Parts: sequence; C-alpha cells; structure tokens
Amino acid sequence: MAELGQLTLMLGLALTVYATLGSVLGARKGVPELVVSARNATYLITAVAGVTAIALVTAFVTNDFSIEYVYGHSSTAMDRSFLWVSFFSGNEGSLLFIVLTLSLMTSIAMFLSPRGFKDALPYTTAILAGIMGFFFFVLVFFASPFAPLDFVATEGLGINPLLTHPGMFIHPPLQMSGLVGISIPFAFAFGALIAGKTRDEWLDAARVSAIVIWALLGSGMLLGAWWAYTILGWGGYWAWDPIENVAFMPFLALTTFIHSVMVQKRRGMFRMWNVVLLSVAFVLAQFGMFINRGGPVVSVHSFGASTLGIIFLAFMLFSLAFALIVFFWRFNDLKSDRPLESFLSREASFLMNNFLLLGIVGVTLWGVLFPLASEFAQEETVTVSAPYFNHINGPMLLALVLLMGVGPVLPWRRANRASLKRWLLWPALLAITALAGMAASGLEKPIALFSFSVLVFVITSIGQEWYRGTMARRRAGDNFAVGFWKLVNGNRPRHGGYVVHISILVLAFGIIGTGFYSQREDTILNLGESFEIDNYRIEFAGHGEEPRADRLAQWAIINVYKDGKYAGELRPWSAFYPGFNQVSVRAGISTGPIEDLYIIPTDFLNERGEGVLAGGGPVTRAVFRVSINPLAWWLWMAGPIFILGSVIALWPQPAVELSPALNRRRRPTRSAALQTGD
Amino acid sequence: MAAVLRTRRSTRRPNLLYLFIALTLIVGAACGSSEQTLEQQASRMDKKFMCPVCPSETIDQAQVQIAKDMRQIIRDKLADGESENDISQFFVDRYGIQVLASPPTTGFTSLVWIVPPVVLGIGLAALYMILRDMRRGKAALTSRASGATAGATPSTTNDALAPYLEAVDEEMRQSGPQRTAADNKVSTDSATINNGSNEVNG
Repeated sequence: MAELGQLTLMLGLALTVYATLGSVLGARKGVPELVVSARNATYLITAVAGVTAIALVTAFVTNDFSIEYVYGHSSTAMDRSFLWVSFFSGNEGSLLFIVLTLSLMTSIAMFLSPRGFKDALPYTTAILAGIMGFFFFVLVFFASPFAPLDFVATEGLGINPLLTHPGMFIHPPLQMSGLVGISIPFAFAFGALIAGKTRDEWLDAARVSAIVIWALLGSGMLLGAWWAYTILGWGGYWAWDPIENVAFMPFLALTTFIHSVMVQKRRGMFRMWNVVLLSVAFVLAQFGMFINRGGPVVSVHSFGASTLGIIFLAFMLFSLAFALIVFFWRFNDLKSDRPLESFLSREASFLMNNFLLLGIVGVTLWGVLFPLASEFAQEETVTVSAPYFNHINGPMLLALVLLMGVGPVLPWRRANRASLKRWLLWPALLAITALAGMAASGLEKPIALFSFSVLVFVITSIGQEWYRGTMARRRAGDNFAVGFWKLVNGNRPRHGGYVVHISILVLAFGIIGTGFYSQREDTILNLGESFEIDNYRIEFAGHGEEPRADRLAQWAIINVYKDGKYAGELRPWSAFYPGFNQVSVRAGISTGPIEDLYIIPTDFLNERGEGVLAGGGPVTRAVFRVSINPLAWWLWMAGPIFILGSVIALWPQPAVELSPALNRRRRPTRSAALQTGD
Repeated sequence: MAAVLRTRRSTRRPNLLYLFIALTLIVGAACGSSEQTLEQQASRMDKKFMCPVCPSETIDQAQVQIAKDMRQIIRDKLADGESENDISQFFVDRYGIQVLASPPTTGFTSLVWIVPPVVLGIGLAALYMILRDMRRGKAALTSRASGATAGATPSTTNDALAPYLEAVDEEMRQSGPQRTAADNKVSTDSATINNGSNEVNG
C-alpha cells in the first residue's frame, strides 16, 4: 500500500502541474482542446487523491505498522471506529485529507460552474490546480503519510485520547474543508479577473460557493465548541486560543464577503471591495495553515513541532503577492458605477457590517501576533488570551448583533424617518421593556442584561418583518402558513439569511448565559456523601472502572437531586492512557434549556488520599468540578438552525445559476440566461 | 395598524433612546453593588493566569497538577487576606510575565490594549469620510441619470422573481410612495440592458 500511495501522490503532483499549465496555455493561445484536457486532468486529480486516501485507509485497517504515520497514530488496542479519526489526526494525513477534499470540491465547482463563466473557467481551474499542486508537492517531498518506519514495530502508538470523541469524526473534516475551500470562491473571482471579466461574471459562482464553504466552516466551529465542552474538562467551548482564532478570522472575512457581495449583486457597488475581501479570507486561511503547522504560536490544537511552517509561510506570502498583483492589474476595471446615496441605507449598513467584522478580524490578528511582536521588540514573552479578546471583541460582536436588527430593515438607497419608525419602533419598545423587566426581576450583571435586550431588539425586528410580510400575503387570500411559506420562498437568500441571523441570536443567548452566569465549585466527596450547589444536590453514589488495553477508564455514579427531587443519574468519566501519560475526561452533563449541570471528575482517590489512575486500591473519595452553565443548551441549538438557514439561502431558485445539465443541453432561454439568484 | 402608529410617532424615537440609556444606567448602578464571595473572586482570578506547562490554557481550564496547585494557592492567599495584585505579583515573580492571561496595561505591553481602539477609531473616521465622498460623487453622477447606473446590476429581475418584486413594491409603497416609480424604472432598465448583453455573450 505504501508504494501505491507514494506513486499516486507523485502522479497527483504531475497532474496538477499539467492542469495548471494546460489551462493557462490553452486559454491564452486559444487551444480549446488543451483547456478541455486540462479540465479532465483536474477531474482525474480527484480520482488520484481518492486512490491515495484509500491506500492510507487500507494501511490503517490492516495495521500496517511499517508505515510511520500508521505506527504513530493508531494501535490495535484502540477503538477501531476511531481509525477514521486517526487518518487525519496527524500532519501528513490531514494534508492528504485536505488535498482530497479540495480536489473533490474543485471538481464539483467546475462541473456546476455557470455557463456564462466559460471564458474564465480555465484560469479558475489553473488557480485551483496550482493550490492542489502545492499540497501534493508538500506531501511528496516533506510530509508523506507513506514514509516507512525505520524499525520493525508490532504495535502502534495509538491515537491521542483527546480525539476519541464522536465530534472528531466531523469537526476536523468540516474545518479543513472549510478553510481550504475558501480557495474556490477566490479562484472564481480571480480567474474572472485574469480573464478580463471584471464586471459581475464571477459573482454568482463565488457567492454560492462562498456560502457553502462558509456554512461548512461555521458548523465545523460549532462542532469543535461542542467537543471542547464535553471533553476538555473545563466547561468552556471557546478560549480564544491561537488556532481557534486563525480559523475564526477567515470565517469572519468570508462572512463579510457574503454580506458585501449582496450589495454588488443588487446595486453594482463594492466590486473592488469584494475582491479584496475574498483575498483577505484566502490569505487568512493560508495564515491559519501556517500557524497550525509549525508556526511560532503555541496552542492546544496545533499539530506539534513541524518544520513545515516555513513552507506554509512561503505559500501564504505567495498567495498574498498573487492576489495583490492581479488586483492592481485590474484595479481600474473594478470601480463601482454608483455612488452611495445616504448614510441611512442598506448599503451603508452593509459597510458598517463590513467595518465591524473586519475590525474583529484585525483585533484578533493583533492579539495573535502581539506575543511575537513583544518577543521581537523587548525579548519578553507575553500571553494574549481570553481577557483581551473578550474585552475588545465582545463589544464589537454585540454591536454586530445590534446591526442585524437594523440593517436588514433599512431600504436600499435611502431610508426616511417614516420607514425608520415603522421598522424600529416595536423592536426598541420591546427591548426596553425586556431590559426593565429583567432588572425588576432582580437579575444581576448589567452588561448581560443589556446584551439580552439587544437580542430582543433583533428578534423582534426579524419577527416583525416576517409578520408583516405574511400578513400582506394573507390579505391577498393565503392562510398564515401558506403566506409565510410564500414569503420565504419568494426570496430565499434573504429569508435564509434571517434564519442564520436567528441562529446567531440563539448562539449569543447561550454565550451570554454561560459567559456571565456560570457557577463552578470544586469539591471532594467520600462515597455516599453529597454536595449542594444552587438548587442541586449531587450524591457520589458509586464508582465503576473498566481496564482496557490502552486505558483505564473510571466513572463516578452520581445521583442528582433538583429542588429535593431525584432528577436522574450522571456518569462523569475519566480515563488514564499510560501510552500518552494523559488523562481524558468526559463530563457528566444534565442539560436543558435553562441550565446545564456539568460534572467532571478531576481525581479519584483511595482511602490514603492517593490518586488512583491505574489500579492502586479501591476508590473511596473523588474530587469533582461541579458547574452550572446557564443557557448552554442554546449554544448547540444554534447549529441546526444555522444549517437550516444556509440551506434555505442556497436552495436553488427555479432556473438559477448552478444548473449545468439544463444549460448545456438547451440554448439558454432569456430567463435562464439571466442567472438570477435573488 | 401601521398607519395609526406612524401618525403618532413623530418625535418619539430620541426619547426612546434616552429612556434606554437611563434604564441601562439604573440597572448598572443597581447591580454593581453586589458583593462577591471569596470563591467567586477566586474562580474569577483562575481565568487570569495561564498554566505554565500547558500550551495556552488558563489554570481555570487545565487539569494538570500545577494548575490545581495554583488554584489552591489563589484560594489560600485570598483567605489570608492578600490582594489580587499581590497574588498576581507572586505568580509573575515565579513564572514570568507570560503567566498572565493578558499582558499588563503598563509599559510596552499596554500597546496591545491601546492599538485596537485607536486603529478602530481611525478606521471609523476613514469610513465616514469615504462614505461622505461617495455621497458627493452622487451629485456628479445624477446628471448621468438612471440608464447609466442601471447597467451595473446584471441580475435584478426575471419571471421567477415576480413574487419577490411584488413584495419589494409592496414595501416601497409602505415606506415611501415617491420611490416606487423610480425603482420600477431601474428594474426594467437593467432587465433590458441585460438581455442585450446576454445575447452578445451567448
């Protein structure tokens, strides 16, 4: 298998070189056959990457420990289902995964690309093939997952215990696909620019692919947060860790783009700006890859010391230079045709949205880079962590949420006083009522209360628009449900956007609740003893353990009483992995819309008070961290709503951009050729 | 109902804003005075120190022994009546300045706190000026009339969008009658121009 894998990697590299050069030459010299051949080569790259991946999977399944990567990331003792996670749990395998997913997305994007994009497609192909070529190059020469082990091993080292969690099946693939997938809208835009299509030819393809990628990234980050919440053992889900930040920044830049691109779509403005935003997102994704793979910043998530950092830094700088050169080459063609008419207009609110989002990107980048600057300037290592990000990004994120309630109801071009009042009166009134109500009911923490009332403002604003739209249709004779359906159906990008906004509100609800109102206490309990926190009583009723080949798992059996009534049993779990000298915990969580009771066993002790990791006598006491995390449930509710909203926004309109089968067979009719998505 | 509301609303909005600010202040004042228990203070401090041996985790998050010890030290010292600054200094002396989760607000590291607000402020000012210039540009462009500008919107309308355009028109009617005509004109113009350009491309 190792030989096959190594061979297909080299084949992949050769094909990417051919596809890149063939596309460019074919397009410039006007040889359509060469362009077609290069495109077919790109499809072939997907097949080659697939075969390579199958080779590695086979090596894992057959426990081929003569391959260093398999030896380092799996063992016969581990749960076999996690072999899939082993596949991308290390540097080399994850790079292979990235090539696989990028080639797949490239093929899909090329297959579905709109007909009107034909002239620019070779350049888009060339850009994407070039990016894949870079990854194949790294895989072949610097990080081959098929490198042989230089001694004979009968057992592997196993998988990092932190990764043995169901979330790990999906979170890393989504995250990697999302980050590398930013290449696709980038390639659509820049392919068009190189081809001299500097108007809006690339717009629909880039917008749709950007939303897909953005949805992948967003769900990936939510899953990552869920993973952290259940397994990292501190009851948190986001720590402004450098690696989290470098994934967050391209996501924000992409968020900026998919908002700002609507202005270009509807008003022909911000054309130049949108190209800049895509470049920023693309380069930030490269930056993330650099930090993640041997960059100079420490993090919980990184792939550990690796010499690849410098290669990825070079690639990032190359990407930056490429984007800048193409941008300035076509600078004069990218101008907007229209002026802004009013500060109070949807265009202006989009600009404000862009400013805030990019402001958060800038603040975050500054925080990530400052430790390096400090080391450089005064040779002192400093840490820039959560307090900084919370203080500076927090208010900006809240302002962004507030804008979600104002921007969408402002009309294009110019708002007048009457329309402002019409749309903002009820949200404002309800927000104030909610604030007063919360204060009167004795809730603490003014910042949290203020934030909650902002959420009320936004949800009222969205609800009001839906209500009024539906009522308008009802007057036309539809009943309520049909009216609402028609409203949403009539402009899916817009109403899908509202659903996504609601998911952000739900997420913010959870963040505010857990961020401001969490309680936590550490407690030592003997078997049979109880502990009270808030209106809960938890009883350490029993202990169980299960020795496995790779770990000793233990759990506490905890009876939970809420307001004096028995409310169920929790089994917070912890396991010691001797191979990694590492303890992995799984929280016992009793969840609900109001609050989570969250219990982690930090230590199991025997009667002499010694920690029991692997054997060492019967457990008689245990140390627990008990937390109450209000509204944490809502964090995870945001995920499905987010996905629903993205799907609604992306659901093809009749006769829309991405329907190649139809377009290819038929001469485009007038309405199909209009390629309207909105 | 909307019409009724609109007639009564002429001067209400600024008042609402003031009411909101006043309420926030009152709520803030009412809540700010609440007392903290020692444990609350300690767990708040846990989030301010990094675990010295683990990559980018605070002692609040980390589960290794040294983090547990440091948490205990905080509780012991607070019980002894030491101030937060003393405890902070104690850890900095032991582990260096990187033990602080965010750098101090004095000296070189104060830059980390100062730069973002300053840059954002400048950015906001720049944004304002750009917008103002764009608005000035409008005056110069109005003479070119809607035909010139409409070509920039290649995708505004088709048959499938009819229901949506109806909705837009409905919105326009409700928020200001004078704009409906103009917008319809833009839509129609761009549709015409589009069809033209499509024939050229195809």
